[in-house]
Amino acid sequence: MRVFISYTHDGKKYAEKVEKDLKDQNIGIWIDKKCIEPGQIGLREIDDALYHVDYVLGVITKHYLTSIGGDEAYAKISEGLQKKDIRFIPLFFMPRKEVESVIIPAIQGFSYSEDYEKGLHDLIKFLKQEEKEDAKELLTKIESSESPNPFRRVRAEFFHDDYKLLALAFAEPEKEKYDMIREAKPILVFGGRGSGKTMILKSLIPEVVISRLNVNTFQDARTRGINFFGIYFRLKKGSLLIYDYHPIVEMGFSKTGLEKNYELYKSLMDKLKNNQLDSEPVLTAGINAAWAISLNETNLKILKTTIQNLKKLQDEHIINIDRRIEEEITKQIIEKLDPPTVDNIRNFADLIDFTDKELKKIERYLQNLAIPYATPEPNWCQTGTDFLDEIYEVLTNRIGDLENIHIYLLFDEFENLRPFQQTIINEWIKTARSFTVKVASKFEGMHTNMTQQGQPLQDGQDYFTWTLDYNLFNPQGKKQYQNLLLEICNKLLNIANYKEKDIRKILDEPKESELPQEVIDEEIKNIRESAGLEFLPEKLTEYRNKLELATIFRLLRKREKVEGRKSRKKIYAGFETYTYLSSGIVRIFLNLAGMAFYKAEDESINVKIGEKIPIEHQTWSAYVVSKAWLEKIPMNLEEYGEMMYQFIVDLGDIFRERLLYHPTEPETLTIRLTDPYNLKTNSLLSHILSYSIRESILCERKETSSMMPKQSTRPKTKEYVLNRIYSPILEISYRPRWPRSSEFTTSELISLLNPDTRDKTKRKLQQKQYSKEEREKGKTLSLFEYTGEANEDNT
Amino acid sequence: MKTIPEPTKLEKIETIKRGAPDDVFICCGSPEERCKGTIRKRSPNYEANTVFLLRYTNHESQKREQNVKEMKERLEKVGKIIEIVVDEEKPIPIINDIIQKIEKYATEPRKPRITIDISTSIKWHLLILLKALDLKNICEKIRFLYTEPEDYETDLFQPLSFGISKIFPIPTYSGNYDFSKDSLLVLLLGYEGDRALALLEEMDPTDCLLLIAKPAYHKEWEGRTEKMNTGIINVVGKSKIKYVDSRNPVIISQQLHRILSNQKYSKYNHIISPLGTKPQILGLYLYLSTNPSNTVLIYGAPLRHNEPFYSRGIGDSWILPFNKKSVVSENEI
Repeated sequence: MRVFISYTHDGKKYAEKVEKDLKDQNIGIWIDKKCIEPGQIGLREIDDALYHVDYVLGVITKHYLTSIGGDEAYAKISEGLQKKDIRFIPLFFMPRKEVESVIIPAIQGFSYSEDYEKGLHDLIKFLKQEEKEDAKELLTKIESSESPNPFRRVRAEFFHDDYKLLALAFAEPEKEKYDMIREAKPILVFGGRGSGKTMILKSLIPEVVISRLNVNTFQDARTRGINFFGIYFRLKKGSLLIYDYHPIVEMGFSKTGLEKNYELYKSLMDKLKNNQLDSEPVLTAGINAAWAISLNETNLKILKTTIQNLKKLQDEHIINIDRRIEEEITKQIIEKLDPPTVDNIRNFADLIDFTDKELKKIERYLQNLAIPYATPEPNWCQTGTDFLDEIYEVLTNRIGDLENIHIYLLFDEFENLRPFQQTIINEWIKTARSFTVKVASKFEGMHTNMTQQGQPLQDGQDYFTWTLDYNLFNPQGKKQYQNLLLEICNKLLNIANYKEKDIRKILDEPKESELPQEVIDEEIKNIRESAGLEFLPEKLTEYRNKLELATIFRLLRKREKVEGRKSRKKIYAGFETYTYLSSGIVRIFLNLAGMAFYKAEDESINVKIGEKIPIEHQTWSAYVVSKAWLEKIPMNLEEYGEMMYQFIVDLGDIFRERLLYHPTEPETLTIRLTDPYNLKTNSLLSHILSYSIRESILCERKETSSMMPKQSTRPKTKEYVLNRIYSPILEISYRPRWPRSSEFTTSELISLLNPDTRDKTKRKLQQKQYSKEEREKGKTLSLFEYTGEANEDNT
Repeated sequence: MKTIPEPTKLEKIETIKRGAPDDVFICCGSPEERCKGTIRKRSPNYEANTVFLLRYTNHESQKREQNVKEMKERLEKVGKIIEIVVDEEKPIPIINDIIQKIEKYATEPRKPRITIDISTSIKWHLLILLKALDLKNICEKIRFLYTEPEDYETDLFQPLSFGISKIFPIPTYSGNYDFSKDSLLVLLLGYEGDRALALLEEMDPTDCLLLIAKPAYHKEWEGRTEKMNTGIINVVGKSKIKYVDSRNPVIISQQLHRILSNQKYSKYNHIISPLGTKPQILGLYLYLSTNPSNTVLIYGAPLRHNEPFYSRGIGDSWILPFNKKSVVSENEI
């Protein structure tokens, strides 16, 4: 929902409060306001400004009516409003009977003059009732575990422990990458939510391997060339004992003997949170102690999981381990653990019990540390960084089915570990001999590349990196991604018994452009000539390449009748378009396809027997999924969600300004930060960008030669590409024609994030999107005319 | 047949022992009106040797300051007030300090007379406090009071909070996790559907149970939780809804025990997140005191509360039953 608040100078504080309160209630995807003064409003400006608005809220104060020119002017405005299907809602900040108008008091509105909260309550109730559809709720319907939608399975977890089904649904990514992960070398797989990291790791576990090969035992799989055995660990929050910083600080105090007080405690906790460990011996001592505990805990849990997995496979006759071997293995492992007493630990079940007891000791120790009523005693078996090497050596030597097999430890959600915990796994990446580590993480999830020995891991030497989000700027990347999508969709449609399994044949492609070519070409000509640029018919192809999509957007928005225009909404349909909108993230594509399926079947189109999904349903789907993904930002993103949401909406407005008014290079999805070195001094912006990358809201473009400054003295820039899934709802181009960027400084972005400077900064940045010539002509923003105070910015 | 203890409706608060003041009365200042509920219901004779007035100061709130002012005026007649400022994100040392103070002010260490009003406590703080009290063997000697709001502003169906500040394992309730098992997310639902969805998104469980309070505090409140959680119910499915009591911790603990000890859930780690009522927190703790295996508590702290449309007024007040020995399975009743 888009809401526009109009007010006069005597209603400014009310407008600001209404805007804030509506935003605080998360009402409306876009809310903005304008101060109107006598003589400044024209119908054309209103039409342009209100094109994409659902409601106009008028802050009715003494001067409001005078400013809009009285009842007669209002009648003209309202006629224009009605044609756009926009509603005008007066908010009475003065008693209705005192409003000097015949028309305004008669319009249904809301009274704020006596009771502001009641007025707000009634307005919110009204707006919520008017909301046509809740996009997030629709998305939850198609993702529902009870939904028959073939694309409901958008996560690995949806397969539960049905490994056969997971194996059926798994589509191998491109060969050279997948071969890399199957080799015995450490790999770090980075990807956003829904990029398929978990599926890739799980494809390496024996149950899935034998399902995919359609064999019965691991030995059978070995005869088919399998030489690895994967053990999967999901490093969820809460899966390890230490996550909170409290035990670290407590152990630090204990080790250093420093006197505790609450203020010092809080300060140390904050320093830990911000990773400011320098010259804090309490924290250094605490972290060292925490590391030792985490190492022991991790060793024991990995041991336990390994033995449990082996036992399960043994019980299912997938792996052959006879009783005698089991007992010998148990004995050798106990020797390595070297407990003070060895009571009847004979087999795998006993070993599992034993590790459970040891883990309980660690748990009790930490509990006593948090709530100090007993002196905590570290009384569990101590293990070192080589412990697992020794264990896996025993297993691969003693179990026939595992002879000469590479053991892979598959760590998922690596980003949930604290830095000191990550050094444990980093150490294994670098030094492990009898097993290989494979890690999956969100972007920016590697909080440290150091090992416990203080050595940095080297990418390309100690490990290899695989980035799962496909770069659609790159033709090869796009092709690989599309191949993967086709295969995944094929499998999912096969599982659901759909007649047609090629998604390209189900998503009906637009047969023609949404506007007649001659109309587009004429407008391109107008754009160039208006900008004082020549128009050469022989260069039409070149002009179309740069301007056609932007021209379509402009023609769709035009107030006047446009020949051949059937709708004001941009069409989004076809496999190619959905590919781009999904931005290289499989889950988003499955959401788009799933929503299109949902709509089609709701309209009685039998997709299952092969009917195509019409373009209008795909377009509807694109807008709904786009809105849902945007609205999920404030919901899901820890700490910065609301700020990020506003930031993206503002960027959308800025990019749209360029799309609608730049005469030569209108399309952009990219922020180019011209002074990234200044990020170090601004932790808020740095965190926002980092979180956005982690959650795939933005994608950082790797430096290419085209980004290197021509002059060596110019500093390097950084580029961040907005996830294309937001482009329908933000009404900007999704097409990566080439990576044209909008330039920003860190200072500009920081001002945009600051609620106090946001409005002014945004207007300035919108103005920057015009070409130099347009700015020189004194082109003002169509959406927001400056009031007297803001005019200073134009000079 | 064992009788299940019931919450006792409170018209007036009297001292635990007739004729003797309580050792300690603990309450918490909040923007919600009901933080004054039990204090307004105190009998003229009610006294405590010491009053701990907890204040969270991470977010500015005029309403909270007004409420605290009134609380102080009323509590001056109860006993000596010790105001304790708590950093919402770093409560453990304060909780330990509270325990030490309780020990200091208890006139009879084996039979302390402690009353705690949990109406507006932060849920995860309450869980840590319960554990700390339990380790001192005084948990079951506490009289827990709870005041409901008169109503919530749910005709708008706006959530009670927005955004997620962070999702974290509750300290001292994490680590009991088996990597060989998948996870079952157990959500005790409240009126914050987006928060529940965010937890589901973050924890990505293999399976999920949605526990809805039933009966609601009032008949006319029935169905609100379902309405406020449409999103997560859509994703997880109506078949995953189970009902637990809203007000009686003993019944809640028994129900949790019955639901979660079902054989089909034994193959999972249980990740429990309490978004429901405060009595459910007590019930959850009682359930956890049976030491279920592979159970972790996760919390999603909201970014901000929806103060204009949060709870309204002061409703009924109750003394909540809290007895670990009462945590029996239904078969044993």
